[in-house]
Parts: sequence; C-alpha cells; structure tokens
Amino acid sequence: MAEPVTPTDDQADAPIELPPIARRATTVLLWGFRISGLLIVVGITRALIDREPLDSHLATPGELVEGMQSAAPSAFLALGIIAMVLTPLVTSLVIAITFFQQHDARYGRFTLLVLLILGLSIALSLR
Amino acid sequence: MDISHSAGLGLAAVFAAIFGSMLGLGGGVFLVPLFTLFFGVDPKVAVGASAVCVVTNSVVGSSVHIRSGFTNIRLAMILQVTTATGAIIGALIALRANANLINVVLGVVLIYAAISMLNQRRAAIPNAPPDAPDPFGVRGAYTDRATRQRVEYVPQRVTVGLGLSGAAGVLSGMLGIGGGAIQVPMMNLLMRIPVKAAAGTSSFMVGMTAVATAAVFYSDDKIDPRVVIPAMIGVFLGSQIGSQITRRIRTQRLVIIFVLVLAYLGISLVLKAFGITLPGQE
Repeated sequence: MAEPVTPTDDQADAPIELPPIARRATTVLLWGFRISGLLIVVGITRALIDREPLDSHLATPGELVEGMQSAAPSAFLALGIIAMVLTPLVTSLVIAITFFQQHDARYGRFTLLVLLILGLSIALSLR
Repeated sequence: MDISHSAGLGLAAVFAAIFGSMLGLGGGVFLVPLFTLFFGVDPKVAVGASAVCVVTNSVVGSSVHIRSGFTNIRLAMILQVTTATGAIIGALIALRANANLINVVLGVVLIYAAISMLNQRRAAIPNAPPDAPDPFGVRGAYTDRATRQRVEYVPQRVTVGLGLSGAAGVLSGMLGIGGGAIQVPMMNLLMRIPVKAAAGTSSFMVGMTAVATAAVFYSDDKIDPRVVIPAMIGVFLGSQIGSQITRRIRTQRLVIIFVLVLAYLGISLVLKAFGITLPGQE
C-alpha cells in the first residue's frame, strides 16, 4: 500500500489550483444549475400569478417553441427541466474539447463516444 | 393533483435527499418507493422524476467534488461508456415491463442494499501503490483536507469495472436510481479506489447516466412536471440539509435506522406487487 504523503499545513490550507479540465467542467455545471433554477423560478412564479395548474406532461420541442412565444409558465418549467438534464452533456462536450486541446486524443475519443451514446438516446427520444 | 399533494411530494423528496445524501446514495433509492407507496404515483412516472432528480443532485454535487479533486474525470469517461449503454437498455426494459416487475426488482435491490449495509465491514481497503502499472492512464490524486494527506492511487481491474458498470447502468436505467449504491462499493472494493475518489467519480457519472434514462422516459411522456418540479426542489433542499447534518453527526450510528427504512420500503414494494398494501400506503 502506498504511504500517503503528508503536506505541510501551508500546503494543505492553500487554495487548490484546478487543472483547466476541472475548472471548465465546474464552470459549466454551475451555470447549468443557475440557468435551470432561474427558469424554474420564473415558471413557478408565473404559474402562481396566473393561477395556472402545472401541466401533466413535459412539452415536446414543438410545443416548447409555441409556449415560449406566449411566455407560458409550463414552457419555462419545461425549459428549466431540459436545461438541467442537458447540463451533464454540455459538460462532457467541454471536457472532450479540452482533452483534444491538451493533445490527449485517447480520452477525447472516449468522451466523444460517451456523448455519442447519450446523443443517440436523446435522438431516439425525439423521433 | 392539488397544491397539498405537490407539497407532500416535495417534502418526501426532501426526506429522500437527506437520507440519500447522508448515506452517499443520492435521493433516488428512497424517492421512487416513497412516491409509489405513499403518493400513488405510477412507478414509471416516479422513475422518470427520479432520473431528473439524480441529474440535479449530480450537477450540484459534482461541482463541489471536482473542485475538491475527488472526481477522476478520465476514469469516469471510460466507465461511462458501458454505464450509459446499460442505462439505455435498462430504461427500455422499464418502459416495456409490467409496473409490478419494477416494484419487485426495486424491492429486491433495496432489501439487498439493507443486508449489505448491515454486513458492511469497515476495514479500510488499501489503495494500489502509485507506481503500480497504469495502462489506461487513470492515475488519480487529491489532498484529503480532513487528514491533511495527499492521497495517490491507481485504479485496478479497469476492464472488470467496465463490465460491472454496464450492469449498474442497466439497474440505474430500469429503476431511476443513480447507481451510486453499486458504483461506489465496486470502485472501492474491486478497483481499490479511495472512498472519497470513488464517491466523487460516481457522483459525476450518475448525472450522465440519468440523462440517458430521462431522455428515454421523456420520449414515452413519463416526465410529469407536476411530480418532477416538487421533487427537484425537494431534492435540492434535502441534499443541502443532508450534507450539513452529515458534518455534525456520525453517519455510521444511523446505519441501523437506514437499514430498517430500506428493508421496510423493499418489503412494501414486493408486497405491493402481489396486491398487499401495508397501512398508510396507497
């Protein structure tokens, strides 16, 4: 078993400098959460003001465009859910790009393969 | 569905996320049985809602784990190839399966989780030495601020891990659970990855896995915003509360309570599949 290396107190307390891949992934995750949260808050607020009950089904892409044009609460809520679900995908895309930028083609390809599989499931869903 | 029902779902999600967060299992393990047994939500709608909540938990949790250095992104991407494939297969099975079958499988998984937790040995699993062969280039390292130690590790048996991750993906897709309950012990016991790195990597992976599940359920119109929105809000609040509570109490002391809760939910689901409903359940 490897002996753990004990850093000095200064080293342990020092802020961790993140590698570019971790920094970019974290940024995308945080913004995905913020955008999704904002859309859901707007949707709930509008639904409460309009006294409109929540829809029992999540809007299809076509319904979403129509709903956004009329600023329907259900459209904001649906967009919020979709934004949250898409956040890991966008994060993976940013990770793949970063791997290629760092000339790590093997892991860039692995990440693209994961995206391809997930993209396939979404493509099948939207048929 | 009225406002009190939505509030009830949200509260149940808060409790599910508190329990899940304290145990490192995510909220899905508790969310589906609570919604199904106590709120009469269709199991497939509950699984769809749970998948969205697993993504929410992962997005929030991963940003913290990545900053802490616990997430091994390379390892996550390798394992995710089979996990995501398994999740799609699992979700397709779930959509075509009888609701009772989902209840029985989830019930058995919960009972199994309860028994495993009861038998869990607390012996530390030694990490593989940093100079061990690393053909996949997935070596990892982080500084554990609790012990002020720099921990370096090399994941072992990656090819076996790929196969088991696929199986975890099938269960995850079928049941809407994150899969952390399977991935974390597998990484720790089999691949000799330190628990914090295993939990951080798993937390990142389950979000991607649940995307595949959520997409399949969306295609079948099983994502119901009346259930998903209160659940998302509840899970977000619950995971924040859970992480605060975890800092203050020793989770191991609560294991026996969780074992009882898991066993109760598991047995209830199996009984429900055979038409037997316990008092207080729908």
